[in-house]
This record gives sequence, C-alpha cells and structure tokens, in this order.
Amino acid sequence: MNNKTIIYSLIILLAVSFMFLSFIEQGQRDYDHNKNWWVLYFNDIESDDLHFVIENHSDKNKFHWSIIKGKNKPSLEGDIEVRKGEKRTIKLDVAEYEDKKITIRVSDDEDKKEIYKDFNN
Amino acid sequence: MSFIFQQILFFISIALVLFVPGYFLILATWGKRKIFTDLEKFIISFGLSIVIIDFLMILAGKIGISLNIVTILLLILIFAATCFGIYKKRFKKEIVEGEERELAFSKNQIILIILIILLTLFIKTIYLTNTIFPTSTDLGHHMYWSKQISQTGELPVYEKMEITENNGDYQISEPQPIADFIIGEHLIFSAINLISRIPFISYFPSLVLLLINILGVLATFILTLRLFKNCEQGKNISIFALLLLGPLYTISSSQAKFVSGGVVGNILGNLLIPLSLYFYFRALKEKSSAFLTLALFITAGIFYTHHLSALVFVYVFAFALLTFTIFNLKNIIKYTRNWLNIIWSKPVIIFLLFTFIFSLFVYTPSYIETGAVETAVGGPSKATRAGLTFTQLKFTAGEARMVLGIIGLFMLLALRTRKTYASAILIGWVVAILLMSLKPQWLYLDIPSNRIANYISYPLSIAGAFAFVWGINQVKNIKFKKYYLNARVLYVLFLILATFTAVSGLYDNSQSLKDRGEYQKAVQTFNASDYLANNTGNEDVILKDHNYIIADAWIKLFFMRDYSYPLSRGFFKRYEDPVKKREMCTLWMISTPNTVNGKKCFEGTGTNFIMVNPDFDGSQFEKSKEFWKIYSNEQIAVYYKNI
Repeated sequence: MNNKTIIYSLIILLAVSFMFLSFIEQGQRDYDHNKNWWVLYFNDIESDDLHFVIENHSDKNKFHWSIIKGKNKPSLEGDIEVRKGEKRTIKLDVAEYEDKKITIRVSDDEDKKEIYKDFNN
Repeated sequence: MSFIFQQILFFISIALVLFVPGYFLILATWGKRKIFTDLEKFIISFGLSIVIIDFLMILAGKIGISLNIVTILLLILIFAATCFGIYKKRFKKEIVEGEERELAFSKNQIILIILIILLTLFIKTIYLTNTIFPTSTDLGHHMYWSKQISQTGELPVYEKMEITENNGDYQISEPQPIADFIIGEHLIFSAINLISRIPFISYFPSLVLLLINILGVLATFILTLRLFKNCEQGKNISIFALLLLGPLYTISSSQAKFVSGGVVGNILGNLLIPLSLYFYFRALKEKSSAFLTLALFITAGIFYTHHLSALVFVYVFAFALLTFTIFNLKNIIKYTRNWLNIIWSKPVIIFLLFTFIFSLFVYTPSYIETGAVETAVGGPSKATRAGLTFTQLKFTAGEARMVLGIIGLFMLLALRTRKTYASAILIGWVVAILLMSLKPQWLYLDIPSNRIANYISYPLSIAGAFAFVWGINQVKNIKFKKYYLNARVLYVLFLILATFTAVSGLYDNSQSLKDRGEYQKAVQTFNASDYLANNTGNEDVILKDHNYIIADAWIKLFFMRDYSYPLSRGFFKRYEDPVKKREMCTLWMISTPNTVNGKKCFEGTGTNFIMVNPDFDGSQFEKSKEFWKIYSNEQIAVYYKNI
C-alpha cells in the first residue's frame, strides 16, 4: 500500500458521490418526478387575449375551470383532463368580455387558482 | 444529453481544467524527481490548475480571443505541450533522486486515512442530497457571471444597473462598477461549462465546490505532514488534523454549508491559503527559488480570486513573519540574508516582474480598481464588524476543535521548537485569524467578523492535532512513579478528550442536517422565470421579491440582461441601514404599489411585471385595477401592470 492507494480511493469515492448527487439533482429538477403542483397562466400576457393554459405536474388529472365577469357568477364553465406532464390551452373569445374584469378560476377539487385581466380602464 | 454521457463529459472537463495544467507545470519545474509524494502531486496539481486556468483565460480574454470550448481546450493543450517541452529540454537525463520514504504511511495509517476521507465524503454527500439542487443566493449571483463569460466569450465587466433618484424622480441608471466579485471565482466554472455543456442551473457548480472543499482539507493535510515532518509523530498529527478538519464539524460554515451556500471565494481561499503556506514553508526550509516562485504564483491566484482571502493571507503572512522574527531575533540578519538569496534569483524576479506587468497593464482585480480596499480597513464601522465574542468564535470553530487548538497554540509558543519555520507559520496563522475575528479594531479592520472567523477551523485543526497527539505521546514518556501519576488515568483522560471531540463534531453535523430540500418550491420559481423569459422583451422591466421567493437569485440566469435584472426587493432590514442609504423603489413597488411613492417608482423605472409569493404579497395588487394577474402556481404569482 502506498500513496497511490489513497489517490485511487479518493477518486473512486468522489466519483461515486458525484454520480449519486447528480442523479438525485436530476430527479429534483424534473417538474414531474415526486412533485405535486400545477400552474395556471395566460398564453398571451399583454394583449386582450384570454386564452389560458393549465400546466399539470401533479397527481390530479381532472380540472374544473370557470370564467367570471366582474363579481358575477361564472358565465362559462367546463371540465378538462390534463395528465401529469402535459399542458392544455383553453381558448376564449374576448369580444364578449370587454369593459369587465375577467377572472379565470381553475380548481382540482383541493386547490384553486385564479388569474385575471381587468378591461375596466 | 443522456445522464451517463453527461457524467463522462463532466469528469473529463474536471480532469482537463482542474488537474492537467497543474500536473504539467510540476513536470516542467521538477521533472519526475521525487520532490513530492504522489498524494502531494495530486493535490498540488489541482490547486495550481485553478490558478493557471484563471491566468490563461484572463490573458486570452484580454488579447481578444473569444472564450469558447475550442479556445479552452487549445489553451490547456498549448500550456501542457509547452511544459512538456520544457521538461524534455531540462531533464534530458532524468535523475530520480530518492523516494520520499519519510512521508510514506504504514498500511494501517493508509486504511485510517481512507476511512476518514470516506466518512467525510459520506456525511457531506448526505447533507448535499437536500441542497444539491441550485437554490442558494450566493451561488446564483456567482453563476450569473460565469454564465455571462460562457455566453459572451468575454471577460465579465463587474457592473450593475441601479435605481437612482434625482429631485424626486426615479430612473434606472447605466451600469455602475461593483467590487463584490473577483474574476477568479467565475472562470473555472465557465471553463467546465464550456467543455461539458452542462447548464449552470444544475448540480455541477455545487459539485465543483465540493471538490474544492475536499481538496482544501487534503491540502491542509499535506501541509501538516510537511510542517511536522521532523517530528516523530508527524504522520499521526497530520492524520488527526485530517480527522478534526474532515468528518468532524464537516457541515458547519466554511465546510459543506459553504458548498451548498455557494460561498465560492471562501472555499477557494481555504484551498489556496494552505497550499501557498505549503510552498512558502518548503521554499524557506529547502532554500528553493522554485518553491518560492510557485508560492508567489498561488498567492497571486488568491489575490485574483477572493479579496477577503487575500486580506486574511496578508495578515497570516505578516504574523508568521513577526513570530519568526521575535523568536529568532539574535540571528535575524542571517536569516534575512538567506531569504534575500532565495528572492534574488532568476525565476522569482522574472515572476515578480510578470505579475507586476500583468496586474498593471493586463488585468487589475476589480476590488482594487473600485477602491474597495479602503472600505475594508480603518476600524469597525458597524457592530457586526466590531469582533466576535470568544463564545461566538467557539461555535464557529467547533467547541472541541477550539479547545484543542488553543492548547496547541500555547504548546507551540512554549516549546523550544517555536523558533522553527513550521511553528512560526502555524502560530502566525492561528493568532492572525484569532485577532482578526476577536479584536479587529486592533488591526484597523472593517470587515464582518463572522466572515473572518470562517477561516479559523483550518489552522486550529492543525494546532489541535499537534496538542492531542504530542500530548498523548508525552504520556508514554512520563516517569509515572516519580510524579505519583497513574498511566491508566492519563490514557483514560485522553480517551475522554478524544470521545468528546468526536461526539461534539458529529453532533454538530447532526444539528446541521436539513430535513428536506427546497427544490419543490425552487422548480416553481424556475417555471415562472421561464414563462417570463419567453413572454417578455427588452422593453419590459421585472421586479421580484427576495424575502419570500425560493431560489430567486437564479432568476437572473433566465434573462442575462444585467446582474440587477430582474430588479429585486431585498431583505427589509437593508432598507433601514443607518450607514448606507438604499434606494427605496424596490420596497415601495412591492410593499405599497398604490401609494404616491410606489406609483412614481413604477413610472420612473418602467417596471411592468411583479413576481411575488402570493401568500405574502398578493393582496396589494389584487386590490388595484392597474394590475393583471397573469401567472399563478403554489409559490409564485406574476402581476402585469397594464396601465
């Protein structure tokens, strides 16, 4: 045994540690692996376009969406299935919704999210 | 890229960037003579490579050569080939002079060393499992600059835009120079990224820091081996130092916490400082100008890597010199002549000239250009810079390590061997950092004291190892009957001390292990950042929050527009800083967007996107007709200012 034994052992230990941590990090970075979240956003931010996207990284697949004009009851509703890892766009026609605050509410039975554009100005 | 292929590229890039240049420099300087043990050569190659790559990339960048994969590989190849040519010319007839048998370990010692390394790496790996995903603020800031180098192929200009006020009107200024970053902290990451193609927002920065951390611990190990080479128990002292610095307290600050925290400069400093002391020691002991040249080379590397480490090194050097002078006053003139003989030699003079020209005409470290040095001296300006208490320092260093280290310091001062270079270096190193941490006002220092304290564990580990091993060895030689001492009692006391040390160090590790990582929240931050990066342009201005968003410092890597972009609402206490007045716009625009000040700031800065954690900062935007909520996940809400 000599110093080379220490060096080879060090290299092997470092390599194993690095590969292990890299593998762990890769899983952590994956939006779907061991994750349970989803996101709601508009397709086009700055225009009057109301098309919105549900991007799913959770174990829930079924979502209920509703469109609310101002503070009224939902004027349009629907259900949609979005599998884990997928994103789905729901397209809405803007003409009917001018001069109001339009809120899009989406829920998965447990959690609810909202986005909105305010055309009142 | 498949995982296996990515790993292979990563290991190849590490070998090329962090080992090859240093190895060939050693070859050109000493040939294959047994000046070093294989382990020393391995560790020294690593340290030298970091400095070599830094200077090669700076030179290439300044000449105007674009920094890309081809350039980096060519630089390494040309450097290695040049060194090899020098080696062949200088060492035509290779003379292999003797083996370093004095530093050869026994079989049991080698097993013990490997076990210590295994335990160290095991604990750090377990800790990093929850922190390997990039979330830390410091690392995010550093990787911005590394990514900029990779993307632009140019050396970075350390500057950032700021929000300025002029007669009540606010605007975003042109970029202003900043002194917080030094080029040596970023170049090696760019080099590895360019060769391996692994993105910055991944495991690789943390793993590179882990590698530097481990090699820093081993650099201290080989330094200890050399310092105590003439001591009968020298190898045992170095192994105990490895134990104190390795698996014990291995997660606390300046170790694995700094790896995950991305405290790049400090980690590099804790590698380069022991390595430079190693070269200085051998230069003086062996009266070698070659060693002195490389010592100066590593020192230059420190100055181009981390200003705080450079300052620490200056004080350590000064105190070591002072210690040696005090204990060798009678013969100081003789010693000075010896030193001047080593200094006044061709390689040293040429190197000093080269460094002078390089620093003046090629590249001056940013902190010197911006006059940051003046802000670090002159006496403490805040309470956090007025020195730590001994208790605070004890917690930083680790209680057992502190106790042993202080005992070791007193022993070094008391023994006749205090006159030696080895003692002077070690005493100077410990005393310098103790004083800088506890009594900075005595040294006219104006730096956060807890940052200095992070350097103490390295010299204390060596001093502590000396205290323990030397002490237990002396017990063997005591005439017990003469002093009415019972040998068994003393051995048991040492056993208790060793147990206390081990338990203290391992308990500290257990307290620091995190329950779970924050990657679940961080991926949502990155998803939101991706969304904004794909849906905004150069005319848009984004403001995000630092207080409640995880991994927010990494958001800037999605845009690469400016170090300060997106704008950021910082920690609340920073806006109350009595010493340094801060801009208030970033606070007002998130906290009170509907007030007069808030609206003025929106108008002046052109901010039209706000990224916040809705649990803390949603309501003030939802009340306003001026904002649309355009993005929503568990952690992040994005508001767009429509008016």
